[in-house]
Amino acid sequence: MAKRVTLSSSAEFAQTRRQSIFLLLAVFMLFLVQGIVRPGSVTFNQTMNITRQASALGVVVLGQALVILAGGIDLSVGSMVTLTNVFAVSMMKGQDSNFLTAALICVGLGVVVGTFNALGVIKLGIAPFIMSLCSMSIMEGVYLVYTGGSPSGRVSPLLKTIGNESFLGKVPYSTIIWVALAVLIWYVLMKTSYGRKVFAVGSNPTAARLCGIRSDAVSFSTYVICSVLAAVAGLLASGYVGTTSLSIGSDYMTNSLAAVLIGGNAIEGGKGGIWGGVLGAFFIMLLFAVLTMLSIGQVGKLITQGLIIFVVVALQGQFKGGRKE
Amino acid sequence: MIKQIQISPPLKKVLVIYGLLATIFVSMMVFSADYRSIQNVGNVLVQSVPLAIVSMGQMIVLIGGGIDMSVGAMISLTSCIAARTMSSVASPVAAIGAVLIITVSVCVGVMNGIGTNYGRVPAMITTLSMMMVLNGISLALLPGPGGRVDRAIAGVIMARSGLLSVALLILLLVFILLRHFLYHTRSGVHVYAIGKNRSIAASMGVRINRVSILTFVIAAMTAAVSGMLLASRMRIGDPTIGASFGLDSITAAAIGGTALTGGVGLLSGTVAGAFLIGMLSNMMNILGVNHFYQYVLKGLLLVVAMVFYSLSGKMGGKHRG
Repeated sequence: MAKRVTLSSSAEFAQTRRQSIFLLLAVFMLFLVQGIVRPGSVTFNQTMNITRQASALGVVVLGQALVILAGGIDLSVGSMVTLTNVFAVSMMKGQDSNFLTAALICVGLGVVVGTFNALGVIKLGIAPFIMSLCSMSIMEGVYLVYTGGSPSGRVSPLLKTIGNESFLGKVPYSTIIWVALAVLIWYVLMKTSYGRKVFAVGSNPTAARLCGIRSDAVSFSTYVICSVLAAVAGLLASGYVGTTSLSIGSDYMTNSLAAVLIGGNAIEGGKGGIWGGVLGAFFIMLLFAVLTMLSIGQVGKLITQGLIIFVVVALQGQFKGGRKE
Repeated sequence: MIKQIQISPPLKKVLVIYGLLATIFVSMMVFSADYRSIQNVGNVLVQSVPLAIVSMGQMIVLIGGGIDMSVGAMISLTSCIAARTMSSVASPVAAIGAVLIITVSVCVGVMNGIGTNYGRVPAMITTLSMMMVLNGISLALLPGPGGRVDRAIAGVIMARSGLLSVALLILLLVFILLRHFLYHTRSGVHVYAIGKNRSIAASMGVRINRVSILTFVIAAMTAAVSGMLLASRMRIGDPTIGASFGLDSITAAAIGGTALTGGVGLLSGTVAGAFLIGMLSNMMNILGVNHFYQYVLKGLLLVVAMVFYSLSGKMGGKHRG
């Protein structure tokens, strides 16, 4: 069970890189399939369109990756997305003047939920899996009670623009936000002492504490950041969909976990990075798009999706070489 | 020699959960006349059985250091197969259906196990993928709730008189079987061993892959039993009936003192956890709590239960998902 603090270990770093290269290959394969199915559909604009669809998931994945790196897990991200959607849309009432207030309140909600998760995990000693499951259930209740089962309201034009328009007609605004956040988190994770602490805590919280790192504070912060990012993702998703729906966030929990793990991060924490997950989110959305293009029904979609995600991770495992336990 | 595994500290925690269970039960009995009726108590027991059975399977996977997210989908699939094949007890198709359910569950378990152990895929991803595939197959069998389970078959499985019911008997049977497996066979001890530390277990001569595969097979089979119970209760199949069971079974196991990191867990605790979850929703229904508020309360009550728990035993050490 000996786990090392990974940043210094170049062998493991190379391994993560090899996995990313493999994932990149898988993405190209999908593009190839797309090109064969619909000749001429693999264009810059179409790709940007997919990044637009992937941006909300991508932002959730950033937070999920951070929490998993620090040795936790957050199952409540999906409910957080729905909660944000419901609150933001009902508060905006289609007015730009309400946008800032609504956005700030949603981010504030993210802080509250993240703090709740973190308190349960760190102060009360509840397993993260269970704690975030509980807050998932609580949030479901809150938005059901708030909306009475039928949400209403309209997205403000500004948010709609962010969700659907593109910078200079080329790069979607939501993609820009996603990439900017990814760069920010990558920088914090790889270039600051805080980032090193996250890896250290994820690898071995006790050892990290003995080294003088405030383990609790570090993992506390990851939960808060994760929920805030989920709230941002909820805003992006609201802008894209343009309306409110109680099922908007239902797939985010499983998809974010899948994306992070496809990206080569270890579920036990301390191993991995950000870009794998970013690529993983893009991969999942591209997969959905290609399957939709093939006009496969829901049944075939579920089956192929499951098989492909499994095969990609399995092949990555073969690339990894010997299993370390 | 095999039996010398140490299980006493978790046992103390299990008693706390039973205490909590008893407190809720007794206070409900005192405060609510509706609750007191034998009819209702019997209902609570029967309603909690499917979750209790699948949670035991889930717990064995968790002890072995894995996790099985696909049990819910396996439950849905079982109910769909049952509804498609068991519409008449007289036809030979019903027997084929039963054989099919058993075969499918064993295959699903073996595939989960092989993917996790030989494919080097994290258990969470293997079983999530399996969940998607099984959900797809369920939808192919039954696009929506439908089909029919024969009255005779359902009648036998759902038979009850007063507090006693066949469902409880099935629970007891599964409990005894798994109890024997876990505490009194070599493989059972090996499950704990691989959950604690795979490489040490391997060097002690435990066939780690084989034992791990066995845990997934057991989980899938318990899911099939639960699915059959649910199909008999509804008398129709439903491709989404199992959706909540994946996470609920993990919660039940965790409430019962199973460590999600592997190597620790007791059957009796898990059963208590499942009954606690079942009892909470029944309690809120009896008290007439708005259905929407039930989500909030369920979440909060589970937090309270876990807090109770962590206060009682010294939690010590780290708990990670």
